[in-house]
Amino acid sequence: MLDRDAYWEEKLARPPWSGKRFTREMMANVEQRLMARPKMRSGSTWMWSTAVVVALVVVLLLPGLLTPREVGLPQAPTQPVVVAPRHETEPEELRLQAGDGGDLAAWEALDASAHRPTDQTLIEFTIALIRRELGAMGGPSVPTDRLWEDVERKRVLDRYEVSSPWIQEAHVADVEEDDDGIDYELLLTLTDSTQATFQERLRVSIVIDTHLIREVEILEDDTVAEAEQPEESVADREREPAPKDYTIDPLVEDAKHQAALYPANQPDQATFRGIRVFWGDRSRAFEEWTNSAFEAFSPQLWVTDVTGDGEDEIVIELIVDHGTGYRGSELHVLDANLEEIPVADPVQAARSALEYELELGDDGRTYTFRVNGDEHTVAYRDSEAGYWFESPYLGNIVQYRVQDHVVYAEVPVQISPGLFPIDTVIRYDYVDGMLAISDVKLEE
Amino acid sequence: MKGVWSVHDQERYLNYVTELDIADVRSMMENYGEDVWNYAFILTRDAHLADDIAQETFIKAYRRFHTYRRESSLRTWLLKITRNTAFTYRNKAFLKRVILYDSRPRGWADTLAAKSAVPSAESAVLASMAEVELWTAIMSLPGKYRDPLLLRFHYQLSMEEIAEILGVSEGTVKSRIHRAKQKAAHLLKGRDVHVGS
Repeated sequence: MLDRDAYWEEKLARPPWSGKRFTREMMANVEQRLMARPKMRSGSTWMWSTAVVVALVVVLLLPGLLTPREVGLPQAPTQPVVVAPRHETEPEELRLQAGDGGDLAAWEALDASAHRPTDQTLIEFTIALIRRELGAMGGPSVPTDRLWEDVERKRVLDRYEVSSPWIQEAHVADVEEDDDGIDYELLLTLTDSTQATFQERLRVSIVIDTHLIREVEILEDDTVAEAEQPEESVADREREPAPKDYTIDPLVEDAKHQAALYPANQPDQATFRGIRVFWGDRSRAFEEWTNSAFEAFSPQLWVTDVTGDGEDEIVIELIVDHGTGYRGSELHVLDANLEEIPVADPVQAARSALEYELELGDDGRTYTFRVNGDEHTVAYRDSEAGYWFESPYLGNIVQYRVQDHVVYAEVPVQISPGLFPIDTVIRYDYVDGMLAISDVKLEE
Repeated sequence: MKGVWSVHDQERYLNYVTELDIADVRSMMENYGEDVWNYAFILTRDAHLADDIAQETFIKAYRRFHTYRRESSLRTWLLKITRNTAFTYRNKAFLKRVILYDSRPRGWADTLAAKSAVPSAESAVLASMAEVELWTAIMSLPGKYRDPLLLRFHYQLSMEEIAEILGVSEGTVKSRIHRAKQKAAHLLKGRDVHVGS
């Protein structure tokens, strides 16, 4: 019986679980995060960062007629550049130049046949590189194998075909031509699984006569995060002007209010340690702040007046840790000077306010929860959970929201690892220089 | 607002779009959420990680939909992302298990139910599996055998699709599945058996 495929097909094709494992809560979390954070490299992100870069370049270049190299600005393009057809000036043959390229769509938009033959090779190579189709890990031959003088040379690129990092963009950084070959230098922008962005350079040497790739060399491994954060003291890094040219994507941003959070360092153990806040032309690094590096647990950001003084504040929820049935979050509120406003602990308040009664029956249990006169009763069969807490627990999940200029914390009441029958909702009001708790109530 | 697409309709619809919206992702999660979670668990044998990886997979799918080339099915593409994500977690040694009782906020040692003994999430998950003995045997196989075996017989992918996901040749896939069946059969019967292909 075990020697027939039919046995395995019959047994293993069935769902392995009786219930669902990918829960509604997870789906809602994905949706919430997608709605809270637009796609990276979205128009707003680029518009803002591009505007900042352009303004800086104008300010720095005009007075002294300095070149980008002299003022120390990054010379590699920071956003996709699609090479436009240049038939008017170069009707016979197009040539790739420094700055050309971009993301996969930009490379695919190039008219390879209109370029010189070595460019055609580079275009086909780069598209396959971004798509992970070079077959650099070995195995069966792939169409781009014909591009190589010695196909074994492609194996140096195997790191781009493992699970991470992913090449998001590739730009031509330099083109050098000698008697028998052309060296193309490609600047790659990569992201790893935590969305940390970094750059690497490749030199692709293509023979003029045969149009074949002779060699590819990985030139360097230069992390953007390190480049952006040289060895400075905390004091040096505390306050800086708004971002010069942040090629790292924001953890969260509010483009309308020009507010954003960026990681201050590369992720460590899947956690960003140190968060930099940008708001208008102000910036401040909070070295002690942390947030999960997983995109599904990006921080939340609101810009609104929560103190009633007529000026906006930044309200930030950091997700410092997470797991099934657990979501550790922190609330930080900053005033217009990026100074922190103290915030009361919502869990302590919820625990103080919550009263409960538990009535155990033969095959079930009934909970009655009370907070400030609100009462809620809920009954369960014992079979509805594999394990019941001896008494309700508060604090494994805390979520914050801002509504009509008021900050609220939601602290669900937990009675088993997977059961949260009701939430305590804590309202904050600004009193004596801090956000104090003004009300706690139950909410289904 | 869009409703939830059927698998067939969604595949057809997605051939004509270059970007997803939230409703697309919702529909995708309805149709493939279990497949993705199960595969994440198959790869990691860790329910907590599977929760995170499954969510991360759909976020990546949304953000990288432009890389979906329609040469494979949407499900195969999602499984590939799942695998990449799972291996990234492993490669980054992100094995910090956030277990419910051990990970409460700082200073909460006196919390309720603090010392309760509960079975681990993993053993609870395994115990809840249908065909417990069979799945326990399968899940005890080394990943290199477990992975192709389940892609073939649970997900019913073609050899070509499995080869694409695993990044190995079809011949390697076939031999690993053959070995996986031998090993699983040995575990189930307690002795070597002849396993055909």
